[in-house]
Amino acid sequence: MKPKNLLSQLSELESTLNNFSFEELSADEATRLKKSFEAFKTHLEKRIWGEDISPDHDSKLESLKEKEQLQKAQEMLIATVSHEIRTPLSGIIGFADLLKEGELSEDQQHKVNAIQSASNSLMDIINELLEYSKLSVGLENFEMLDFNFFSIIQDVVYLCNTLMLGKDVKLEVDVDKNIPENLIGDPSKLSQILLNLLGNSIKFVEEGEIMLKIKLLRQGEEKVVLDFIVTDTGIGISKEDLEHIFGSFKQANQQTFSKYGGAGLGLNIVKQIVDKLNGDIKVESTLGVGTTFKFTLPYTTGSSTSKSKSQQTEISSEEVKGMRILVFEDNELNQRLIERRLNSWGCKTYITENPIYGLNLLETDPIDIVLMDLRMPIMSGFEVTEKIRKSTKKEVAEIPIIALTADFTFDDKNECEKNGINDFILKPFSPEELLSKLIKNRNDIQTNFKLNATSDGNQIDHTVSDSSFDLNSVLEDCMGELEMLEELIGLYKRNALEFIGNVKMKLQDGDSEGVAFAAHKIKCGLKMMQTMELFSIVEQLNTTAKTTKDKNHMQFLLNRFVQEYPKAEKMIDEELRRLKKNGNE
Amino acid sequence: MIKKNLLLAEDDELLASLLDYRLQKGGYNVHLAKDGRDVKEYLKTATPDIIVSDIMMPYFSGIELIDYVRNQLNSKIPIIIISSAGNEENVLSAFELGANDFISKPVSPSELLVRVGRELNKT
Repeated sequence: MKPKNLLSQLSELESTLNNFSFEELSADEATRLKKSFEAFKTHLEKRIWGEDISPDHDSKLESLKEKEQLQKAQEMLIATVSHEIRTPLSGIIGFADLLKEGELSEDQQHKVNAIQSASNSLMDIINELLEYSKLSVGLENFEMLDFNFFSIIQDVVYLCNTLMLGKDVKLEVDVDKNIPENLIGDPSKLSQILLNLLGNSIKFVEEGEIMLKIKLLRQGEEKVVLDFIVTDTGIGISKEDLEHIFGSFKQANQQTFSKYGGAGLGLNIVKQIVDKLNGDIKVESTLGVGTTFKFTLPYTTGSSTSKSKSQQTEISSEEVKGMRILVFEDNELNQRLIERRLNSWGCKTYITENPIYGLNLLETDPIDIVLMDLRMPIMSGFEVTEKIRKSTKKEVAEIPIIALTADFTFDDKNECEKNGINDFILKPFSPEELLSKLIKNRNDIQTNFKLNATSDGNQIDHTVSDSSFDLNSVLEDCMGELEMLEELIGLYKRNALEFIGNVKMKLQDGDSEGVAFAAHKIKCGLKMMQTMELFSIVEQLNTTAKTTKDKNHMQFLLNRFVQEYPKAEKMIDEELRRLKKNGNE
Repeated sequence: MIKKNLLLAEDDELLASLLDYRLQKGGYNVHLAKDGRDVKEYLKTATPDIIVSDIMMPYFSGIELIDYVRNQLNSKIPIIIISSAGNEENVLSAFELGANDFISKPVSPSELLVRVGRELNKT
């Protein structure tokens, strides 16, 4: 086969999508889209699973050299195909996102969700493939950076906690305090290994515990060896599977694949990275009991100057506190990472992969600076920048824009200047780099906006991950009855969804009064549950519906509500979980 | 001891639910009305011991309610108004028309219970 067949199917899909207007969406078309998609996915799976191309394959080839050559050729092919597939796949994901924003019936929503889910799994597989092949063909870069070990671990743990939401799984972390704070090495590879192993544990543990333990094994003058242990009480791995676990394209069995997804390359990638970093990795497991991965990695200790660098970060992060930053970024992982980073500096962060939201937001809310990923599926960073520069509002047209890009050639630099991008950062970047670029490029005129109080006259802390959010006072009002609180939360959610549907309809009918009415009705509840961001949006909606009656602005505010609501819902669910837990202790 | 009847007129579902819950726990028979029409219907056949009403509601505002109860029904039933931020003038009108007390949002259920008890003790 037939990468040709595959690619032609792909371009058929692509042209279908290109001729697709979501305004003309019919249930049939969505179904057909999904069907071609499924066919494509199956084809790809067959391609990967159908042929055994692992090095353990008992081939008829005569010499070792020929074997190696064949393997290299196959890996190059994987790399090329994966790369080619990613672009149209990003397109599918992007369009599925767009479809979701449109007016769909419940049934159509389900279908679009299915498309999204399938494309996301496929993207995961492709990324694994790409990673694997890059490593195998030696294209992967290994950095030697000065980095803060503890903050890398923190980031990893934070991400894992996000992955564990809704699961009855506990993550315990034990990091040796004697490990030097600053090390020289590749922090992103370390994160990758840990996220891979922990991610697997989270995937395969239905309920129970996962433990990450990091010890300082040996310490020399300038060198250390760290010992990492990732243990879980998951489904475990059989003796036979353990033998091949680090091999490529092996997963325990087909059932595991269909339940848990992935291309089965994760552990092979991990092993390759650990090996290339001069480390060592082992695994132990018992079926039905759990699994333990152990690996060691050597590092050189960071110099003392790096310590003063981190001190500098502490000082200068004050300078970006309160900055309102709009980030255009489509990769979910990057979104979370950058959001956390910016919020930790006290910035107010807006993140979107949808250029229309971002552009609308710029027109209505004061933003101090824009971070722009140059490669995004719907509109390129350059196109979005162009639109920003064409704004009729001076402060929007002149807003500082920093490009985020993975591969930067001389041409791109010119493109930047041509298209009105002020500065750029190369990915992957360190927090210090991001911080210094933000400070360098901020426009002092803009910072005046941050001094404005919010519309209801209160100074509300707007950090997205609001640690001061707690529903204890509401629980008190319910006389400590968690069931009552849960009932209220259920009501809250129902009201929010009704509100969204209601306002959508009212806007279509041009019924501003109806919009004001709906907004007024839900306002109180939003405030009661302390979801202040939503409250502020609805308040603005109420005012607009009563005064200017500007349909576009109301639509925009509704979109913002739709965007922010899932975050609020998550916050509330987590808080409820926490309160329940405290109640049981 | 006979339970007192309380008419609660509140269109915000969340608040209504919470107050209904607490007032019932506080020992009152609560009739919940979502808007002015509900209220009017209810008052045709029933006489509550006390009325707690939001100042702004669909079809029939809290102000109109007070006017109706005091002037049309000629009733002296105690009325407590729930007001929201920015509604100060309405609160004054409410008092002028004959409201007995007011409590502002966000409503503390405990505080409301105290005020309700106080009004009922006066009669």
